[in-house]
Amino acid sequence: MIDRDSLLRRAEFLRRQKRFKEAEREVGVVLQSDPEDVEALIILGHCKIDTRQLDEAVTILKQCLQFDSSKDYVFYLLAFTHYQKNDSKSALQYLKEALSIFPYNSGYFALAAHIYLESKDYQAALDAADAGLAMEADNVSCLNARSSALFRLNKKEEARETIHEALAVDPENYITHTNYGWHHLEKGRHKEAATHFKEALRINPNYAYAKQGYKSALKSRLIFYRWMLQSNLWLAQQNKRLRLGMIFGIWLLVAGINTAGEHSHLQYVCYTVMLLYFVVVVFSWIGSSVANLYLMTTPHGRYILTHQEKWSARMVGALLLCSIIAFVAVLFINQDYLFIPGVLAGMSIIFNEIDFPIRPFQVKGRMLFSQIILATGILCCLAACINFQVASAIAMVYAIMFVVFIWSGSIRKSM
Amino acid sequence: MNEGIEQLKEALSFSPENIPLRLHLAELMVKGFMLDDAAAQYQEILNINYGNDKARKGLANVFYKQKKFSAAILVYEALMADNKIVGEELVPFVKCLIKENSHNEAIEIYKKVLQQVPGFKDEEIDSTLRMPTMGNKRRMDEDGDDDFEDDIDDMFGGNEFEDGGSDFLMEKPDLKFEDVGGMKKVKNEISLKIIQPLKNPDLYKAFGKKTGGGILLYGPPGCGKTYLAKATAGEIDAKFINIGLHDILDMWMGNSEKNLHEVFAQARNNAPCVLFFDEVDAIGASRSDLKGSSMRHVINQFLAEMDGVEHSNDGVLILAATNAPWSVDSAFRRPGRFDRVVFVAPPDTEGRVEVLKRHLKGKPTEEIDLAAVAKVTEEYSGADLKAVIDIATEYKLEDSLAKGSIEKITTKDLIKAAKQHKNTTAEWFSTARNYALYANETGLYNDILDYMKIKK
Repeated sequence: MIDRDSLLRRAEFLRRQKRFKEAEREVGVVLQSDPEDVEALIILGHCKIDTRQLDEAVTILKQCLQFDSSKDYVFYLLAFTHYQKNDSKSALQYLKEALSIFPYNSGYFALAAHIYLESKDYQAALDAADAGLAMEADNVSCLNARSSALFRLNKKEEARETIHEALAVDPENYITHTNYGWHHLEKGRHKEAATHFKEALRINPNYAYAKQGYKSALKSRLIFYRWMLQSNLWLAQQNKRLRLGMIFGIWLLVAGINTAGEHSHLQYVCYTVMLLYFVVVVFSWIGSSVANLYLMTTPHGRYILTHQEKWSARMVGALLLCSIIAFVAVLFINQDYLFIPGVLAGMSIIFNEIDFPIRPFQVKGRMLFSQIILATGILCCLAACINFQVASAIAMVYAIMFVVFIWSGSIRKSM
Repeated sequence: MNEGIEQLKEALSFSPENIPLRLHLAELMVKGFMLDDAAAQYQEILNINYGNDKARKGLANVFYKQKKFSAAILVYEALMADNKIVGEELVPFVKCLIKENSHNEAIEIYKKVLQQVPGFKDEEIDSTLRMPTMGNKRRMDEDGDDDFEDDIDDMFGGNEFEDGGSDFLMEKPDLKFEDVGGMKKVKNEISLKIIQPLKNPDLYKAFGKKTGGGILLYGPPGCGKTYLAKATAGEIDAKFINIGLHDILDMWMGNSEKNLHEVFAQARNNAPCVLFFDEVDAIGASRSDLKGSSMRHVINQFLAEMDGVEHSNDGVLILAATNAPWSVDSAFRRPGRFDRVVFVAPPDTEGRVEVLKRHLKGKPTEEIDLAAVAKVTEEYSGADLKAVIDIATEYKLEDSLAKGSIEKITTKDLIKAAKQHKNTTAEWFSTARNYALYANETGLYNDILDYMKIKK
């Protein structure tokens, strides 16, 4: 006779020890004798969430609801799964169900707060976190959500207090440390940020968010990157419309200034504005890779970069160098070919986006588009050795595709 | 019935070469308990047609019933060698072996029966061969086939089993260090810590070096940690108790402290003894992972037993293995406990050659350039290498079936298979690398850094 309870207890124990395969096996035994055992299904679903098989988790948990729709925890898990899938709307719906069945779990409120944070509804996030804390005053997850919300609402003093509170409850909480680190980065204090990210990584070296933060903190030693990062982080907090508006607005502004001042004595001022704008745009694209190039020279940075980042950085660096050499060469030899360094510099931007290892024309969508542009760029450089007319014609095609690529990319990023 | 037998005898006198008829006669005789006559008939058949399977099985059965166990065993062994006997037909063989007190062989055969006939039960055999483990016997019914062997291993005690209330599986491995390919550094480390103190106790005493304590082996899965532990026991001619994940789980679930105490008590009673905890992180999960749970009890109990507070652990060597040393509580690593933490890397080139050689033994192969295969299997674990060979074997089996002749395994096949089976250690290393880079305050993971050639 199979002892169901002890099997499930073992399964849950194994799950907590992250031995998912073994846990699933124990659960499987229970499900074999009763495929509708809700508790077993819940553990199985939980395992699927932990192993990031989110779609399977949803299927299993929905099955649970069919057999028994009175379990608040199932709704909570479903909400969590949808939150992980960045589907805040469904997540909130499920969470409401869970809370309507059992409104006294601070963990449910913590999740609600995180969902609101994700959808940038900071006041609601703060309220949810407070509601959770009213039930359990030292719920670290609620405290984390609360501090994040307070930062966004610009109540910095309170936010800092909350973080200290959270660290007092659990000084070994890597999420708190990571949050703190990102907050520092936003304010441009990269050294403090680095200490907190380091601490977070010491506790949980596999926490990707902390790793990313640590990387950014190291790169923030470079002043241009620091500015770029700060503005990016600021932009990310704004809503979609504002972000799109900023991108088009600035472009229109610059174009406007340019046309207005074209034939006046302020011409040189216009040129400077144009050039500055151009530099900022280019750096918003390749700044990260250039900073990675710098990271590759530091011992810590070398190991934190991924394969992809390393190759992007190398290619971007190499192409920029080529572009400068070509520029100098063309200046002295034949200025008609000035488009060549431009093509090369443009390619460096595209290399920033491409996946490594490169599988030529075996990819889809935007990746394929970038590969086509790259191929055109190479073709253009080759043609330049043979015939000026052909080369400039190809360069034209290249330029058109390039502009499409950049604008579509900008819009995509701000969506 | 006797009438039928008489008629058959008469019929046979006209056609003495009719084997099916004679078999039938013998069967009837067995049913009629005319065992001697039946045996004679079977012998007769074998005289006419040497190696007739049915006759041999019948004969063995008759011998068994006549309680001529050794004779029966001889026949069964011949049948086994020809692979002519399977499943429940083996049961009398097991019983014969038990009667002849060959428990080891009996266990081997019984394992086969259980494998072929899942859920088979026999009171008589079970009561003799099965030892109650701390787990109950439920495992038999539920676990998947892949784990079957391990569980069987868990369930039986070896022939070295001694009395005294001990009920954990215990064995006496014949493995020696020479049987373990490569791993020079690890072996050296174990030798210094465990083997030498036993061989030269005076020397250690002279230097005031306390013996005892344990070694924690860690490394990617499938790289021979368990094997190494067994070889350690073999090397010092000690008994070996293997506590696996399931036993540990039962400790958590059942009355854990008592069980844990019994494990140590059994090891002490049977000194010299190597006590091996596989996947020890299941016991020693770090405190932050277990916040607020009752499991601290088990950890504390374990530490107290290891420290030998109440009873001395003389002659008990404690080895433990884990894939996740970072989730082992740091209290386990204090002096006197697992004060040596040893990294068991995937086999080096030499080790891989050794492993490949062992697994290829007995398979039809051409002259194989093992070095070449070892070269393309950098970072492959022992288990991975086995998988590579399995894949290559499957290719060749297919070929052989298609061509109708035995196709031999070539170097090329192995290299092709290696391309198909990627090393499973990569995942482990990508986690371990992070720990080595960011959570290595005490230099615990320096070996990983060295192995991955990371310089900080």
